[in-house]
Amino acid sequence: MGRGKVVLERIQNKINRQVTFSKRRNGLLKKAFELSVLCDAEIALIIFSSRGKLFQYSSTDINRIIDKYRQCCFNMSQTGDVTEHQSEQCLYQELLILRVKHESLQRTQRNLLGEELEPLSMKELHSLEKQLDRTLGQARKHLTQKLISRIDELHGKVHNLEQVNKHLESQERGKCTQTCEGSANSHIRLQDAQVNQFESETTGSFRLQQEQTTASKGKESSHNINILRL
Amino acid sequence: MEFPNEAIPEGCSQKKTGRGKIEIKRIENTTNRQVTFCKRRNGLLKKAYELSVLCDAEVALVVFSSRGRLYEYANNSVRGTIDRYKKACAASTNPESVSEANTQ
Repeated sequence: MGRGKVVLERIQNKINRQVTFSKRRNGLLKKAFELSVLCDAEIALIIFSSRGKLFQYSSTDINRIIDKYRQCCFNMSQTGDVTEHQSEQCLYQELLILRVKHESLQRTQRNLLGEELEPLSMKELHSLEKQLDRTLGQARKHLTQKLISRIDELHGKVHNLEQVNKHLESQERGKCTQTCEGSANSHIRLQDAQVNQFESETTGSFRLQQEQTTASKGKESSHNINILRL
Repeated sequence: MEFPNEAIPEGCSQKKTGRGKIEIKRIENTTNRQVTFCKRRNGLLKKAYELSVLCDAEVALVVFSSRGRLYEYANNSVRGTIDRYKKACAASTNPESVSEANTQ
């Protein structure tokens, strides 16, 4: 059967290569067709000859198969095509790594709190001291800032209270003015008394008596008005 | 030469060697279809490889089974050959999609 074994390497003779290409290409296309029909498979076959000529076969629309192929590649690259067992192993390894990190961080925390310092070397202790100095500096800086803002707040309160005090003082001055008016009224009463005494000492001059009476009445009216004001 | 399920159609052969001819239509039995798919798929991939080596051709072969599993062969990269294919289709107004051309 057949013509003999074919060495599987590039055919050097150009004419023989071209003839073989034509024959084998047709055979390949035929077998692709048979596979797609017999086994209900979707097949896309693209062939470029050595001179760049295109030959193709596809069981359905080739663009649909290409899109499906790209989607499949995308999905595989995303999931990494990892089996369930491998996924479990990855998670277990991740668990181990995180556990180591957790222990390391806990040890660092205890060192910062001043515990478990015996195993540390000179260099590590020096590094720890530097870290604590930095932390202490930051804490003091924040404390100073808070104190300054507190001082500003208190200054504001002092200013407000001074304003209130000035307002109250101005009110008190108003009351002092009313008290002075009272003194004036008292003075008027004294004048009335003197006028009465003067009238009693006068000898029955009609014109003089009339003038005095008018003055006395005017002063009494003024007195009444002041009382009403009070 | 190969001895597939398909016999060689030689008219001059007196004795019927091989298994006999099979009809080229969808295999109804699921198990037989699956077995045939595996065998023929491997043969197809092998022949694609041989063609690419012997004739210095650029070949890309993408096979999806009936259940959606992907099998591929390409002597360069499938994606690269697909891109070249799309450029060729865009370049030529009449892309040659004939399965038989320049034959004998």
